[in-house]
Amino acid sequence: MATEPRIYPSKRFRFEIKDNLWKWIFLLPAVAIILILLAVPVVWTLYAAFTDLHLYRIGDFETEFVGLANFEKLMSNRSFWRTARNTVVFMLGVVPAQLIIGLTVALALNNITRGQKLFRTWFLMPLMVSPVVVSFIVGRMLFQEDIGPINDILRNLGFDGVPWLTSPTWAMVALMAIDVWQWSSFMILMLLAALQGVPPDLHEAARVDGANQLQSFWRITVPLIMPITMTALLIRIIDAFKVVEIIMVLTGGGPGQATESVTLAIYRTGVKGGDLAFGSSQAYFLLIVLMIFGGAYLVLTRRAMGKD
Amino acid sequence: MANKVSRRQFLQLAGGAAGAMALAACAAPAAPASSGGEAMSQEKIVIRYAGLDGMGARVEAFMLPWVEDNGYELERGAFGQQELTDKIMQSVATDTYLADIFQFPSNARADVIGAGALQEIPTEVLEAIDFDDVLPGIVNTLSWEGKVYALPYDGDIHYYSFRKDLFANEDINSRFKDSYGYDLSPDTGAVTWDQWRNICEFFTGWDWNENGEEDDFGAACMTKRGDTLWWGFNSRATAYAKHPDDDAYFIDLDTGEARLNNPGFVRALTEWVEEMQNWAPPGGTNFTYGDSLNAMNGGRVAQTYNWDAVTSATSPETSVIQGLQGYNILPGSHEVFNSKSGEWDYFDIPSHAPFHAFGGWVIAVSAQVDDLAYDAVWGFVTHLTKPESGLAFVTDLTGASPYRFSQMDAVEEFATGPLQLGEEVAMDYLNAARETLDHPNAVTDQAFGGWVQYRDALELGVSKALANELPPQDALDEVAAAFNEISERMGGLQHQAELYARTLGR
Repeated sequence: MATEPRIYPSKRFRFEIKDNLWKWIFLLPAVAIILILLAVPVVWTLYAAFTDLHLYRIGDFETEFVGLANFEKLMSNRSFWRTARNTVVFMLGVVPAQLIIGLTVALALNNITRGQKLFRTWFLMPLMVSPVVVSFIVGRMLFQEDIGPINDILRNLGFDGVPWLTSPTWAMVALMAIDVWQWSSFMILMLLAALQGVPPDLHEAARVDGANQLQSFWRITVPLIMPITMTALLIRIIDAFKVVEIIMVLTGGGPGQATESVTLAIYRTGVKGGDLAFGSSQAYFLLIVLMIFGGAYLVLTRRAMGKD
Repeated sequence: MANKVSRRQFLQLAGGAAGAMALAACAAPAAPASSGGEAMSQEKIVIRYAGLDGMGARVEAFMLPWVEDNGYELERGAFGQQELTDKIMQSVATDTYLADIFQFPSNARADVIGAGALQEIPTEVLEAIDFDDVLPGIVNTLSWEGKVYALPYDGDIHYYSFRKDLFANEDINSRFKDSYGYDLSPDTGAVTWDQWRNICEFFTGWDWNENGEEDDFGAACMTKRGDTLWWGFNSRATAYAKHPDDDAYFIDLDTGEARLNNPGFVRALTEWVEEMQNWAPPGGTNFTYGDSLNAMNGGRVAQTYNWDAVTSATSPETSVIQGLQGYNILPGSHEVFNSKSGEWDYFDIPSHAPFHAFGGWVIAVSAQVDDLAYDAVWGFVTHLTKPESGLAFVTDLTGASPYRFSQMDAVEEFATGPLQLGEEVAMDYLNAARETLDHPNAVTDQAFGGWVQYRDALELGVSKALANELPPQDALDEVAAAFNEISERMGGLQHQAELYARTLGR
């Protein structure tokens, strides 16, 4: 009967264990801090969502466990659903626009031979500015209805001024314009990197085989830049769902509730208003929606790219 | 069975757990043991002050000579307006130390004082700062259940502000009289909101500022949600909704039910929407308080109401109307809604209900004051708030407004001091301040627990009406429902009514 040879760890393997151990020892403090900073707020917020915790309630009150009451209130809260609708509208308005602008500019930059670095830096500049500054300078000044330059130009051309910040529709358009202005740069950067990773010989081979530029773009460029494009899109979609700064500065959520986002509502309820219980339930709702959306997006993307 | 934990325990437990774990993970080597009391006694006493960035810097500059003369050190925490309030409220809620002395908005007094976060002001300090000299409207913002817990710094109120020069112009006045049947008064401006509306309409759409464009308007107000809309709307509504025979305004003192959708408020909102949509500059339904000031100081509108209209109009850098402005108490009304009877009551002499908008910043000593700094801290606040210091602050470009009887008589200091108001403007300003702060029907700003949430609820509803998303009645019905719901979450309608009574000094 043949016996299986005993396998002893080689010297090299033992060295790897030791080596990995040291890496883990060095990594552990950082991992622990990150886990703590992530886990404590996540667990605490979840617990708060099931209580009636309110920061500013005066008197001899105790925090009580209230089960799903906050989530039930959330489901029937028209104001919250309005913010959810605003957030989705905002996301659907800005992300496709940023993709189209980003891809167009990235393609143009990828094809120029002189001044590419200059333009790349130029297009990066909006990303370097704080959203609050952008909202104030680009938003409140340019879109000022009375004496702002955009309306001034329109009036000099014989048109009526646009109620940028006082019409529910135009206020949303103004917010979208600011977000697109700032974050298209991100798309340009990501897509330019993706385009520069496409081997030029593939296009040459296609041209030799008789493919025109459009065919070459759809059949070679698009599939090859798809992974980075989908990642960039996911990042932008999640960011758009969390939009808050530009809304606070430009419209404060108004006129009425026309531009209030979910994140701004959470901030108002939990942080400013002190209703940590209801604010936590709103925050968890957003988190769950984003997790489901993100998970589904990744699965569908992988499947689609796997088929290709 | 209900799982009961006190709010503070809950927050402290969570914060403590996070802090302990984070500290354990990145603990620094232990410090060598101190040499004990000897070293402590040699340490300089440090006074820690938390306040607004701008106002705090002025306090620091003013107080530094006193601090140095006494051999103390001053550490100043500087915060933005909303950040400061949030920090104070969170420190109160979690029972954690923020500073020995802090400046806070008086409408947070129920949250801050009611939570036991402050030291009661000792009698000797009250005597040293001549507390009897402080106007009653301000005393109320410093007190809780008959005891004084804060010291005055700023008598923030809304003033009605108008263009005296235009109202005194004979040609303009004669055209106005032809249209409305009475004279414009350069002494008082609009005495009622009806007159305010006439003036709004009359001054809209023609070139009264003679800049060659017919882009001039009647009025500008603070209308932006999330900015100062709460104060803009309430200053417009009090004359209709605050009855002289009834102490309550926001909620009923007996039932705690919100009053925000009664006919008084609805009339105010209906008129305000019309005014801001038709007689204010473009964008007037989304103006910050700064926008409304700029419109007035830039010579685009004939009237407004604001906190800083007086001081900002004096600056040649920001104003083209220096010396042209008049000030008065907010307009009143012949008709006032009586919530008790459910009817409108008529008054031959207009009933005024000036709104103590915001109520001003106050100075307080934390209940957690450092033992070593105890005497120094009380010395500091005494020096900061005594009459001479107060006068220096309110007559300079500090943003602080007068709050003492003695300051109301200091016409010369306001006229020729750093503000350079001139005698006529100074007298108008001080008369308006005195009348507002000492008015028997004045409306105390909302200060019962959870005021930030109530504020947001009102701003949302009013903003919907300004944007034509809802008619005023529907918008205010939503506001009233939201008020009641917030009251329920804050401990019940009755509980909030009791707190409201306390903020009114009852």
